[in-house]
Formats: sequence, C-alpha cells, structure tokens
Amino acid sequence: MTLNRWSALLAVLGLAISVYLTVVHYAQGQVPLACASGGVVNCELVTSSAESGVGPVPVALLGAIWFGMYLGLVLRGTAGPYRLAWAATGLAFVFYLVYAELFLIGALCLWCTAVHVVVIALFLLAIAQSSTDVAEAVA
Amino acid sequence: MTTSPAPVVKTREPRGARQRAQQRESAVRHQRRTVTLAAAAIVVALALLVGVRLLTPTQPSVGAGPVPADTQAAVASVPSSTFEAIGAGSANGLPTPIRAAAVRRGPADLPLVTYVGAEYCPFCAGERWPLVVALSRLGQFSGLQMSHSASDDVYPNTPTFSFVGATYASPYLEFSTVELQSNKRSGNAYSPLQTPTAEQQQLLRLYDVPPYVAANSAGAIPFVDLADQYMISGASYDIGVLRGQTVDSIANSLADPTSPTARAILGSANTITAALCSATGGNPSEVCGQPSIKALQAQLASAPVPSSR
Repeated sequence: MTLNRWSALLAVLGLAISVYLTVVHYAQGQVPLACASGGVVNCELVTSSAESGVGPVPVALLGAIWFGMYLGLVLRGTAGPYRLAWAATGLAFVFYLVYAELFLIGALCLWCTAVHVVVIALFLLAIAQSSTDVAEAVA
Repeated sequence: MTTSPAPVVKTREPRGARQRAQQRESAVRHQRRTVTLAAAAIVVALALLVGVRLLTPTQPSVGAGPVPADTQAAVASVPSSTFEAIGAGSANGLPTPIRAAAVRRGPADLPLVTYVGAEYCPFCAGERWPLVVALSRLGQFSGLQMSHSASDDVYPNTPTFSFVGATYASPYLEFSTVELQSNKRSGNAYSPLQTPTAEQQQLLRLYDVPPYVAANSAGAIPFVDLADQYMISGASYDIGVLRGQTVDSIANSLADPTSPTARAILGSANTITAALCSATGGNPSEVCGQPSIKALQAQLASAPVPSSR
C-alpha cells in the first residue's frame, strides 16, 4: 500500500473516532461513551474536563475538522511539505493534550489515545511523503 | 570456412540510470533515517512527559493538617476596601432565592446556614473558599483543616479547607456542615465520612431539587442553605482559577483586588454575605451596611423565587 493510501486510511479512522466523540459530547448522555470510567483510564473524566474544549468548541470537533482537512490534503495530492506542516500542528496539539491528561486532569482516555496514535502515525507518514517528494524533485 | 566466435557484447547500464538508482536508494535510506529519527524523538518526548509525571508527587503542595494561623488570618481579615473594590467580581451569579416564610434557626435560635458537601468534590473545594471568607466576616472559625479535592476527579487536588472537625462561633449565625465522603478512593467510590442529620437531609429534599436547581442537578453538591432564604447549588465561580495553586497562594492572593482569584472568591463571598445579611436582619451593620453588600442585597431582593411553572 502506498504512503497516500495509508494516510487516507488513517485519516478516515481518526475522523471516525473524532466524530464519535463529538456526537457523544453534544448528545449529553444520550449516546454512551464506550470506555472505562474509573481509575487512571477514565474517558468520562477526560471528555468532561475543562481541557476537553477550547472555549465553547469541544476538542473532539477540532479533531474532526483537523482529520477532515488532512484527508482533503491527501486526496487532492497536496505536496508533502504542506501536509507535513498541517501534521505538525496536529502533533503539537497532541503533546498539549497528553500533557493535560497527565498533569491537569490526572486521567487517560483510550479514545483520545487512539486519536493521538493516529496523528503521530500521520505525522511520520507526512515526513516520509515529504522526503519522497524531495527525492523525486532531485531525480 | 572458419567461423569466428560471436562477439561478446558487454551490456552496460547507462551511467544516468545507475546514478538515478543510486539516488533513489539514497533517498529511501534518507527517508527511513528521517522517519526513524522523528519517531524516536516523539517516543522520547512522550516518555519524558510520562516520566516527569510519575516523578512528580500527586499532591505537591496541598496537604492535610491545621490551617496555619497566617493563612487563616489572610482569609478572615480581608480589608473592607478590597471587598468594596471587587463587588460581585467574577461570581457566576447570585444565590437562588427561597424566601421561606420563616428564617431557619439553629439550636441557639440564630439563623442557620447549612453546608452539604464532600472532600473529594472539586466544586465543594472551590465553594468552601467564599463560604469561609463570608462566614468569617460574621464570626470565627477554629479547627479548620487544610484539604484538597480528589486527585482522580476533574480539577484534581483543588486546594481547600475541610469542615470536618471545625467549629464556627458567631453572635449572628449558626453553621451546620456535613462532608459526606472523604477524598480517598474506596473501590469505585470515595470512603464515607460523615452522615447527614435528619435536618440536613430534609433541606436537600426541600431545596436541592427543581425548581431551585435543574432537574439533572437535583441532589448535587455542594449545597448551601442560607437560613431558608437563599440557596446555592454548585460552585459560585469558575474554580479553574484555583488550578495549580496552594492554600497559601490562594489565601495570599485575596489581598490583591485585581487578581482573578480574589475577584472570583471575594466576589462570590460578597454575594453570600449579602444573602447572609438578609437572614440576620442587616447585622452586623459594619458588614451589612457596606455599599457593595447593600447593592447586592437589592439585587437579591429583586430576584424572583424560582417557579415550577
């Protein structure tokens, strides 16, 4: 499978998880959050914390927008460096969210962790794609 | 006829193609190296975050034990000018009117303030601050303990006081408290701490229900009944201002009327004080007669009692 296909597949996966978490957020209890809620792993604690939103916008929605944009970049065949720049913003946000989970909230959310892994994988694929583009340009 | 051997044709890869192949190989090697380095950097950064978290004490600066005298003094002797400068500050709103026909009174026949909360509860931790500040204007606490909310709930380890073992003396008010649970885990819940009295349970049934609170917040803590004249459910301000602070730093910041912490806590304390003054008939006048308290009392008086319709 090519780098592009992997990127598209992972972006769709991240988008699906983010949309699910967004729906859970706005449904306010009508849609269950399928995750442990007790001890260190506590999705409910994380997704209802002050850090789960930027102002009135839930982080899950921001994630869905980010993955949607990334998928668009992949499908349009946007050059690697642009994709890499977008992936880097996502990676920076992932680091902030991991910091928030560890230091501010004191709990981890498995869904969020899955999203973080997907973002990191997309960042690495973007690096690979970017260096491929550079190599092709040199050749 | 002799046949000469067929000429040996040496097939040689064109120089350009070979160079391109070498460049491709080099590019692939470079790509792998870059991706590996990036992955390693990410793993190291995440491991550092986790490592620092594991090495950081869970409760770095919040603790148990009696409140130091200087800390309690900072909370109990906020200058009038600071209260006046802040007014309602950044309080979320005013206490909810009940206006029962009779002021609820305690055993000493003084207006009775009742608090129901729990030590694990971060919003209770936040609400104790303005409550202690407001009550300290009309009386004196002794035996207050330092405490913090649970480390595995939202706003973990919010620094606060505990009312367990504390007493309150005032010529104007009586104060009844119950902390239902501790901040220590016991299975899937927190260990029970104190049992509410029949009167405290009755108050929860009467006023911690619609129309005084939203249906989905019925029974929520913290719950404060201000002599059946007003009630509070939940924290009176955004307790996020307490994040990362200690009991000492919060107490010390109360002297600065421009600090967000003082605006939140003292603003809420002013709204509570105004409600208390309504229950005490305006006593003591040196507190209840302050312009900011009078203004808040006027606002409280014009607020309607929630209706179930």
